[in-house]
Amino acid sequence: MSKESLNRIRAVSSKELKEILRSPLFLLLAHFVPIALFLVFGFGLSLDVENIPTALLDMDRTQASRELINGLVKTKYFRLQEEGTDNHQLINLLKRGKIRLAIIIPPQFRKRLYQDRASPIQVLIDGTYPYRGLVIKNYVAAYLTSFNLKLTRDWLNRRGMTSLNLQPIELETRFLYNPSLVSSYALVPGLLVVILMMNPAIMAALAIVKEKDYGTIYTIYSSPITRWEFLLGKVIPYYGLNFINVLVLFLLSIILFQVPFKGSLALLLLGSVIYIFTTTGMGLVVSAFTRSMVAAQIVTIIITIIPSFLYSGLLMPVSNLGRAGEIEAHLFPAMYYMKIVQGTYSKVIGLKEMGTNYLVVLAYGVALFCLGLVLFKKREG
Amino acid sequence: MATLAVEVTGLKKAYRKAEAVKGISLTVEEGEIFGLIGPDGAGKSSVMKILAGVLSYDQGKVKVLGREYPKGAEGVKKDLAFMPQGIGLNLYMDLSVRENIEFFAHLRSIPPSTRDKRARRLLEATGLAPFEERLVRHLSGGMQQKLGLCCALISHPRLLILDEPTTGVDPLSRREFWDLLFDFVEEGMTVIMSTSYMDEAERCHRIAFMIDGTIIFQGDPQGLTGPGDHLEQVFFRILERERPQTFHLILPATLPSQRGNKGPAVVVENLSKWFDSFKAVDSLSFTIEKGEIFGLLGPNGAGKTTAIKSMVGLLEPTEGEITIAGLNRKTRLSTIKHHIGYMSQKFSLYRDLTVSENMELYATLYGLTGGELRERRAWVLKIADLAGQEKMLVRDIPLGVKQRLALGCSLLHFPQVLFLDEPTSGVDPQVRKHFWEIITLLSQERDLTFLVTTHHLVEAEYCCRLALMNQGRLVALGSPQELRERVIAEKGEMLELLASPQREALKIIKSMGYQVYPLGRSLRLWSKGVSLDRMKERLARRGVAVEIKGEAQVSMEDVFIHFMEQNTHV
Repeated sequence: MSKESLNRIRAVSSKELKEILRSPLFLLLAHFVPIALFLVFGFGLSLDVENIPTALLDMDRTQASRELINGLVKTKYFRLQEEGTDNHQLINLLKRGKIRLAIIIPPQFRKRLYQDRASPIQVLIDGTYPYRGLVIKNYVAAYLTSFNLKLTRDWLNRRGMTSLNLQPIELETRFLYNPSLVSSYALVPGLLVVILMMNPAIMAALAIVKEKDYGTIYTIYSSPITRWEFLLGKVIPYYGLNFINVLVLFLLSIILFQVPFKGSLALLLLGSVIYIFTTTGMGLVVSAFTRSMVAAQIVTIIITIIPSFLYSGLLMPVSNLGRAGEIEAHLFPAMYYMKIVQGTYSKVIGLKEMGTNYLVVLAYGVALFCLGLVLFKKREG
Repeated sequence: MATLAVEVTGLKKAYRKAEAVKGISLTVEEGEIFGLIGPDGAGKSSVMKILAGVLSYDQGKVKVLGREYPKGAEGVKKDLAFMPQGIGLNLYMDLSVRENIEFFAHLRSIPPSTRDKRARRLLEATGLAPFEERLVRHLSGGMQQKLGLCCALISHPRLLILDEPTTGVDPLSRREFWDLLFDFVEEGMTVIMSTSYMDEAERCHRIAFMIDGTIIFQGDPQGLTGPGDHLEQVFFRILERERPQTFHLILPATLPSQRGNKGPAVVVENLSKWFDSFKAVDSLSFTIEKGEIFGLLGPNGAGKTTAIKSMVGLLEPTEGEITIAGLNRKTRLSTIKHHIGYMSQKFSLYRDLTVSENMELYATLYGLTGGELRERRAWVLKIADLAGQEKMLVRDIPLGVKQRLALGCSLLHFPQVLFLDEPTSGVDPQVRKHFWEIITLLSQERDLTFLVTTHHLVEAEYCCRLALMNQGRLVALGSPQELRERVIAEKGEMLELLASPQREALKIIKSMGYQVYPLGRSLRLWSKGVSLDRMKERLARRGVAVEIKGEAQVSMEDVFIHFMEQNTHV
């Protein structure tokens, strides 16, 4: 690289940096927006099903029915919202979304129980979201199993059979990587994948299209600066800004969201730097096709947010996406960076296991930058 | 024979289906100022962009500074500079004057020591030196254009391409702009420029007249004008022949005359407007009589737009009283708005709506319906020459027609007073003429009152009275003739000289302390205190031939510059 071209790159970069620092709106976009998104999604996006609003119609009103319900609403999974008076009212509450679960205990619940007959209870579950409905059903079923077990034990105790083992096979589960199965431990780091895809891409696209929108692009077009010098000089300041974002988001994740970080920080940062380079490249490609800042922004949001949310493995594992989804996921760099994030936050694996992911993200970056370079013309139509 | 800087043959360029350039050929010699003139939409900007290597083309041979396009375009770029059309468009608004110059120099690898030396000269010549650290967004339009030129010149390019560099620039700044340009041409630079000012075109060594994508004349501007003729008139004649306009100069039948109304149309008393610590308008007072066309003139940043916005109620004045059609601040703003019309510098039309949708929008805003609306709409369509084209999108109609449509829309509700802020900026002479014909008719026949700002000082002659503003203050008020007489009383009559070589003569005469400036081919000299004999002798000694053609008309531009120079405080 000649000294002249180095100087030109430096001139473009320092000009860009000055413009950014003098434009409060742009700084807001650069730093405030990603942090705000991180907070909103970090607090708001949770896949844990807890605190299910529950209504109860207890037509038995005996100690036994009380006991059954008290045990249920004592757990963190259910919250007693209403005590109903009739079936009709419960249906109404479900319809309006006030409750997700209704439990109906028929009259003579206790009586049947003590006559050693099966004593049915009915639950109505809001099945609007199948996943949530299924989880609620499993919670209720698990609770009833343990309640039945307790009833059996009491019955046996009363007959003096205390030594009988009612659970000859015992299940001992250990969840690796996220022992307490807190969904935020998986989601919060995953948000890095989304935000670090969207933000650098938008900023890079805006940086180039801004010059087209204002007309300063003619200054560049009509000067001897080469295409790669201009594009490189243009995006360098944004690498810096986005690296700051990486650090801020990382600190927020471990301090504010208390996500345990177990792996190597160096490996996470290396992966993030490469990922920023790649997603910036996406912005460059978008800037080649768009002429106004609004268009650039909308196009970039669409092409970054969908793959990073749906095809990165953020909400569900890529292998559960179905065949078409899985292929698509492999076509976007988000999935590979997600593996780096998971590998460093919770799995504690090293370059040996994740090396391919780094290389794939880097290859994407190089390819996108080259594509951006080819598509950028120093002249109009 | 001189070497050719630019050689173009059979150049064609189309945007989608519209052919913008239809096979033109032209040559520009090295060291000359080549002017490209013609009406709006003639294809001038496309030609300029192609020559600057920033626009592709479909057909033809383009050779610039010895290199064939499109392959050679990148190789030429270190030797050329290009200023696109539009004020400050090539500058970075958030960088300071100095930072912009430095950026341009870096792009062309000019070493810092050379750059600083050149920058000092350029900034001093343009009067920008005191503003070196100011951000471009805080400069007036005239200053931005001068800075744009400085940035283009920092690399001492062999070829400079300027697309309407002086549109929207005040006359004082224009003169400084041209002085600097001439200095560099003397040093061997070639200039290709387009302009809507015909006096600038007359100053070019050669011009090409473009219309509808073809060149109909190319050569010495005198070849087009003939003796005693001005390019502005020739421009009209050619256009009337080539592009006959069918617009109808008529009045709407129901438009009431304002003659019966008593009292002045506008009274401004002691108007001041502060922006933070900056006083944009400073104790402005004047009265506009009913039926007057009142011109508000001043350099960029003089406070004209601020004053107008205060009058129409878009800005709250800091001090002072404004009375329009007998209504003042105590009247509800919505009532006043029924009596005034406003056409802003930027387009007041929606580009993505059709012609008739735009009119309907205006009409609805003012509560017009039914027969009233139909009649007025038909009238606007006639003066804008748009009958039968109501369904066209506004962005697809030519600039000049757009301006007449905007004027028509601001007249739909039959206001008593119209405020027009630079309605003719960037518009070609033919359109400007028609525009003024409409205004004059409305003022004379129906006593509508107009307040107009403009940088085309030729247009100031159409005004009944003029107010000259500078740095927020009123510096002169009177009819064009009164102001002219005041200047003549101070500076003497204006003499027209023909001298060769012109630049040499200019320098010598200036060095004698006389006030002289070039206009087209000739020189203009203020005669008060001038000894013609001494001057002739001095010129003869230096080998400069001079001929005194006699007294020349003092133009409104001369008047303007006189009052600005007298009343500028740094």
